[in-house]
Amino acid sequence: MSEIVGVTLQGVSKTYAGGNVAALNTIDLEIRAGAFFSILGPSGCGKTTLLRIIAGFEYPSAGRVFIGERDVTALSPRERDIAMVFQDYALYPHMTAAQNMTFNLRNRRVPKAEIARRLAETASILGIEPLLHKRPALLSGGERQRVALGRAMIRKPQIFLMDEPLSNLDLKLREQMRIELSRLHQALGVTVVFVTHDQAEAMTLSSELAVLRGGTLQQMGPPDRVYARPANIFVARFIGSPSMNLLRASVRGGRLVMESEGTALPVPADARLQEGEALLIGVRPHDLKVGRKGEGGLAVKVALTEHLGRHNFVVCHPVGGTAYLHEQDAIQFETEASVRYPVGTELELSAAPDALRLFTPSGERRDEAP
Amino acid sequence: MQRRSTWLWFLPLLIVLAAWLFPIAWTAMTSLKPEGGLTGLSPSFAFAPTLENYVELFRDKNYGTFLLNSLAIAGGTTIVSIALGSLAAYALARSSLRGREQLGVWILSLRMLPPVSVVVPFYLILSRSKLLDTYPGLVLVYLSFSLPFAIWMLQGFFAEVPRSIDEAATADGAKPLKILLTIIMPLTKGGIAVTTIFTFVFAWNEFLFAFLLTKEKWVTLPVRLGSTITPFQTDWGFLTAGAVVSFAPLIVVVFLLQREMVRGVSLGALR
Repeated sequence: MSEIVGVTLQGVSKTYAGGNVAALNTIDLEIRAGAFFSILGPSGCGKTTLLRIIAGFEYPSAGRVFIGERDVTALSPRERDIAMVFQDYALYPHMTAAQNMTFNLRNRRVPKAEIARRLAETASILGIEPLLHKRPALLSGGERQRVALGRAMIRKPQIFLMDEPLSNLDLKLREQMRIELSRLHQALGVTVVFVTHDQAEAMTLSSELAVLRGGTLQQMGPPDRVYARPANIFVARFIGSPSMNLLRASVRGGRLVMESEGTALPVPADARLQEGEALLIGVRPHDLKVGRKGEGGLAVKVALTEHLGRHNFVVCHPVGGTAYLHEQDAIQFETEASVRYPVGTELELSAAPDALRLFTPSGERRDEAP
Repeated sequence: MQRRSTWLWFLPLLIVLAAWLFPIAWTAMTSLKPEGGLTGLSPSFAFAPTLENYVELFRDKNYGTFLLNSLAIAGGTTIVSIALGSLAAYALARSSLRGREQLGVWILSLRMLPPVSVVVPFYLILSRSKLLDTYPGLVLVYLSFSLPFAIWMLQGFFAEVPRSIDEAATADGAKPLKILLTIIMPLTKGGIAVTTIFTFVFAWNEFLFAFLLTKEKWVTLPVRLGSTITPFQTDWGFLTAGAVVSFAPLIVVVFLLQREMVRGVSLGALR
């Protein structure tokens, strides 16, 4: 079994089309050995390019790639000891599942007995013994996924790379495979680099994640930390569903007063704010509470309620106009399933001071304690 | 319902089949008629079949040699076209070379050249390099047409294979040649079969170059067959027997590759 190692990227950039389009912009990443590391971002953010650079299918325009201590920047994928699971699985259509899984071992002239042993072992971990003689065309999506995983696992590579492997599965199967991937990662203890645009997937699976946008690294860290302390409003909005509410306000008389409106929220205790300072306030839907009338808070009118079983999401519009909403046209908050507000109900929303995230007007995190 | 519509299709299919089959059957039939009974070409079905035309063809007129010449030349052209063509086509289908598409079109444009425009230069080249009426001479000339065609055809089929399959194989430790031989070519069997047939048929049917660039040793079937029609007399029994000998190998080739060919023609059936 290969030693478990991490991946390090130093100043990796990638430009296309004669240097006009920057796909990746000086990325520094430290992926620890044994981590389940997700690269998360909207489509076109460069996450797949980054994975392909780690794999060796593309070479960086600048910067270096290390697998463990080894500088692999100039090595071909063949020489890197990586296994990749592709979005479309890329199984060899003319080979059976077993042949697909053993292609690598056969290429490396591993003895037949050893191949058979490893095939049996891998197939039993994944529960795909009955499928081994079938060709990919006869397998369902989930089964293909398992075979593709098996093809990666059987080699015992140093690094597993996965390019949106769950995106072609239906929702139910995706959840099931998510659990399975988690289980496999724990059982094998290997390093996984996982690319996804699905923040829920990244949150549930990863031990660490990196958020990418437009080829630039936005934030890196454990999921709970990124969720709790987003580095900027992009990360704040991208992670968590429904998205964080962003409100424009300024500090006046010890309160956060909504722009051109006048309703206010309390100031977080440890924030050292200047009187008159303009801010963006981030508040997650589950942190907004309905307060009593006349206590102050955001005056809103209910427009719509989404019932999700255990809880509801209520969409509402500010009574005094939407001027203080930042790039959104409604405020969302979460209630218990039993709480129902008829459309048109006027409410006042407030939040605990420490539930508020503060950003500068340009959208960067405003450090609460400078 | 299903059954009925199947039967409704049967009649038109039969008519089309008959229209296509008739000339072939007629030729084959005429070739089996005794020489004395041949007054003209009017199809008649009552006759005692005889192989005397074939006997004459192979025993007296030495057609065996021409048949072998044609097989060797068309076969050689096809094998080299597919072998070299696959390598070039794979490179072309996968490289990120700039001008890749223009290169492909340029290669195809070689095939658009009217052969007659280059026949004199070819004659001079072959005669100066002592390749007139030789095996390599004719195969080289055929390759100049069939290789570009094969590259262009195969390139299209190879490009249908998703790139991620190559990448998976690369990550699995396979080198490009191994990927071509064990992954890409098995996956495009149909396309390769179609290209093989087209290339073979082109070389097999070719008349102009074979007529001008061979004298006696490497004369091919079409050339020999053409010379049986003279202003004075046409021996129909002999001619039709020769025609049957000419197209029979093609029918065999197509039958052999039929299954793969159907798959190749129904593009995108890659699963």
